[in-house]
Amino acid sequence: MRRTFLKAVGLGIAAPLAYKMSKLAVAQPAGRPTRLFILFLPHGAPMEHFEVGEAMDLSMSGEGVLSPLDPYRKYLQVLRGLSNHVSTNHEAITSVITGREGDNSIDFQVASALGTTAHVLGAHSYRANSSGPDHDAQFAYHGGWVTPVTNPADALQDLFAGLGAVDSPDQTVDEAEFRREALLLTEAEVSAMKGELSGLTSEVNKLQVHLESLQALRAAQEGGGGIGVVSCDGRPVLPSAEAMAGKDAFDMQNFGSVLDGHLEAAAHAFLCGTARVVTLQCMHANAQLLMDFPGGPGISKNHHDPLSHSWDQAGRAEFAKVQKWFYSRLAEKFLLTLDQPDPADPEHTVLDNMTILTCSEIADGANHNSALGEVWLDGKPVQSYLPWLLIGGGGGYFGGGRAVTLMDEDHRNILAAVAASMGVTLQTVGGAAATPSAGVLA
Amino acid sequence: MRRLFLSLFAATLAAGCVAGPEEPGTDGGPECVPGDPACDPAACEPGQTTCVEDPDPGEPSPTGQMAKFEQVRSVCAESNVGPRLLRRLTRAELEASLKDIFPEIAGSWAGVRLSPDSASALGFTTDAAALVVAGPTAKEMLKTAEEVAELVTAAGTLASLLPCSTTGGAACATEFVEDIGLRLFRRPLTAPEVGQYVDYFSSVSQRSDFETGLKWTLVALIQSPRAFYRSEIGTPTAGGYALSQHEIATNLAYTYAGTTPDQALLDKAAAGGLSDPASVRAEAERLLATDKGRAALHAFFVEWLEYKQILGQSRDDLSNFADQVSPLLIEETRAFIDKIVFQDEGDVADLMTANFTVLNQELASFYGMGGVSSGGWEPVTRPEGRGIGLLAQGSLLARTAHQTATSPTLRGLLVFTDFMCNTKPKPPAIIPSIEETTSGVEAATTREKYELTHSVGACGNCHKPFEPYGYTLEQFDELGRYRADENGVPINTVATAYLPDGSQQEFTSLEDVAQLVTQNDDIENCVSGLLSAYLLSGAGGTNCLAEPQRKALAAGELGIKDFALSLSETAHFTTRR
Repeated sequence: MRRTFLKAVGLGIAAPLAYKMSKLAVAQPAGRPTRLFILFLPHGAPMEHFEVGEAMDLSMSGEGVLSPLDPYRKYLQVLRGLSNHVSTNHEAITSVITGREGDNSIDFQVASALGTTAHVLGAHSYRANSSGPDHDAQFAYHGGWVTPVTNPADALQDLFAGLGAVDSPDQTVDEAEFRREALLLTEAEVSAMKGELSGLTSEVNKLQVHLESLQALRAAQEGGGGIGVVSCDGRPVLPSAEAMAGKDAFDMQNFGSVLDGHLEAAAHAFLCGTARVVTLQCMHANAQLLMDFPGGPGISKNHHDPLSHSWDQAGRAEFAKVQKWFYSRLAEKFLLTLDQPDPADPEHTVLDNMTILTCSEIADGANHNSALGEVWLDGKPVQSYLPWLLIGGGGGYFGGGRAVTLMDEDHRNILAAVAASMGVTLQTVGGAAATPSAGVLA
Repeated sequence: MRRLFLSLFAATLAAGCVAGPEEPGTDGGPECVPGDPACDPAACEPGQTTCVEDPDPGEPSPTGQMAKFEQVRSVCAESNVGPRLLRRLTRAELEASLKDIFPEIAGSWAGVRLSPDSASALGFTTDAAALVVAGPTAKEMLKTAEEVAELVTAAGTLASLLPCSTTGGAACATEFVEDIGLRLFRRPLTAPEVGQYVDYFSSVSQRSDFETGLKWTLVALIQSPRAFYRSEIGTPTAGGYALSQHEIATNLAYTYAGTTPDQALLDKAAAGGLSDPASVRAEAERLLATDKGRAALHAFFVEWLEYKQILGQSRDDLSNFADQVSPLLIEETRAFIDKIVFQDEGDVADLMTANFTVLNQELASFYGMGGVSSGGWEPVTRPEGRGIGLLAQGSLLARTAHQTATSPTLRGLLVFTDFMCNTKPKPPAIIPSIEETTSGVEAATTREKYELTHSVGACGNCHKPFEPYGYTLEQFDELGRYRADENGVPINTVATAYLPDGSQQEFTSLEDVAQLVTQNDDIENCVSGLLSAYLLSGAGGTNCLAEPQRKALAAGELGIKDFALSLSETAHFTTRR
């Protein structure tokens, strides 16, 4: 117990929170308290800087894009050779976590099966231009394309629902209960309308989506978004996220703070147990974001073009540095926080109980392929595949510390494995039969 | 490890298939090569005619089918009636409705919290099939409802809205539920509905106070599906379903004013005054004559032409384009459409071939045209050879260009898709930028670059149907201004392009393309189909809803405004199958 407390203090977590973690560390749910985090990084990677080889040497290639993850290598699986056979190019963003455009994404399916909330966050430099399969599309589909919460300060209320006052402190009555009752009343009305319109299939389906959204919202209001064990007395102090309060999340100069804020908020929500499923869409497929914002990789070029489209060595090295920077943020603001005993399962770390999927719609940024193939660089072929990673033990479901060769394997098998690690068995993903990839299992 | 050679990549480079520096919407999808079944026939095999079956209709969306371009252009012998459906209010409709119902909070309310609405396959946000309460929408609606309710029930505001609130009581709450419920549901509440809300009020107020009870009752009313969805369900009649008087009133209000029915319309519905087409038409005319009505019809042109997309875009050759010029170009197009549609009551041919635009002095100077004498906006006749109609609007020409150059691809698609209702072809998966592929290639003009790369091989198969239309617009640069030459080379606007019926025709200029509207009905049928789909909220994917009216529009017997009004006289407007 003392160790948990000290480590939390070392992380800069406010003292009351650390105490509660210590106090509740004995509480443990029946199964392993698994959590799911999905991180989307657009436009692939320059493979000659990403490749880790069968021995998973994170620094073996060029700039070593994955080298920031080295402290967490025991949790890491690099999925070599993975393909998206459903769609390709930027359009593939619509099938990355859905399996195919228009199907519910894996985060939503898992959350629905577990009766919890699928939070969707977005670190963007501009608003989406479209909701469908386009360059600037949304990533998560929950009965419709989801517009993410873009300001981490706004995300706090959702991620820490049930912790701390939602309403103003001078209120003398518990309006949360009135809110819950209002939602129940609306749910009853939607259900009644469904009954009235039986026979009109499309309208009944429309109302069913509405009803499920209301139920998920009510579950979140009731603090049901987490793992069932809340280990924090109140919302922890989250400087990066709180610093964005009142600021424009779409201002490119704020991008670093937005990304850090989201990662920080999600990590602590997982730690506290107030969130169980979180997806973070990091930029759109065609992100024309100058990578010289404060705290960024310091490259004064746009992420999409020219950086990700570079064919020349110098340009690809710069793209590698940029992608590497994203993994360094993941390590510093997210993984570090979660590499400690799980307050809900002290025998394991939170990362042992996490399933973290980092994914992209494209394999090699310049080549725009989404399936296994080769890119020719300076007359030499370089293998390219979806630069996906699994991080975390998935509650004992996944192995770690290895590169897994999945020759041209369908990405939907990884989605099936992700769901399975959360205790959700899916026979099909994106309309096709899917089986958890055997190579990634413990 | 298995090694795969990217023959596809090599072949594509050999064919020189490229995209512009940024070709939104042309950078994804399967490779399009001759004989490849993955290639969309509607895109790659010119010659599709009207009333064709979609070669790849796909699976129905979870909430129903959406219309696609070729289907929208279809003409039929008789008019159809669409299915019964619910239509969620759009973000704009919800905001306008709440502002109209609660004018007391106009100065303090920040507006609705809903995310941008999803667009249909046609690019419209009014389609009932795309308007669902999915994922975060319920949460955003709850937040909206709470913020409105907090303001409405604040001390002072509530007293002016509900005088009896100074004394409170269940009777006063009942009055509130009945009055506000009528406005939010756009029909009187049934007795059980009133009872349900008053019970909820009583439950909350007993644990708090009168105002808090009303606040949460109002939250429930605002987020109720009876308020959030427009009902187009009707009641059974011989051969179909008849929409109720209040459903018709609702249809009228949102279609022709973009907001909730006003008291006059509700009164008319309550009195059964919308029982014949003439009465319905009269209300449509009344609503469309208002500022809100005008804005509602303008919203169609904004979504159809997307001319506001240029706002804030930059152009290398003009540093103040984003901040100062782009807003003027947008206002020019709005004013031009307003003049044609509302002031002149013109038709599609007028829209396409008008020899004037509407400018202020600053924009006239930008174009180098002069002719503006007042301090405001006024019609200015275009000089000969400087374009006509919508296609010559600077906002459209700039929208279909890149930061440093024009894009015959995007401009060709503008004509091919937006004005002719052909589905945009699916491009190949791998598209190097045009700079990469033409590096070292001798090409003096943009057209030459595109011709060298897009008119041959696999690329040519897909680009040929639409890109020549883009060449005919090359007389206008990426800022939307006329140019006689590019890099000292005279502009060549002569091009042979495919018509929707598959035949080919040579065009010599933008004017030639615009005059197509006088030669066949394709453009009119496209515009009337799109306008019907927009105003009738997709009609559950049903097309051919107003065939006599569409024929009259194509024949020049109806103007665009009259055509929009005539939709209120169709069977679909008041009945369902």
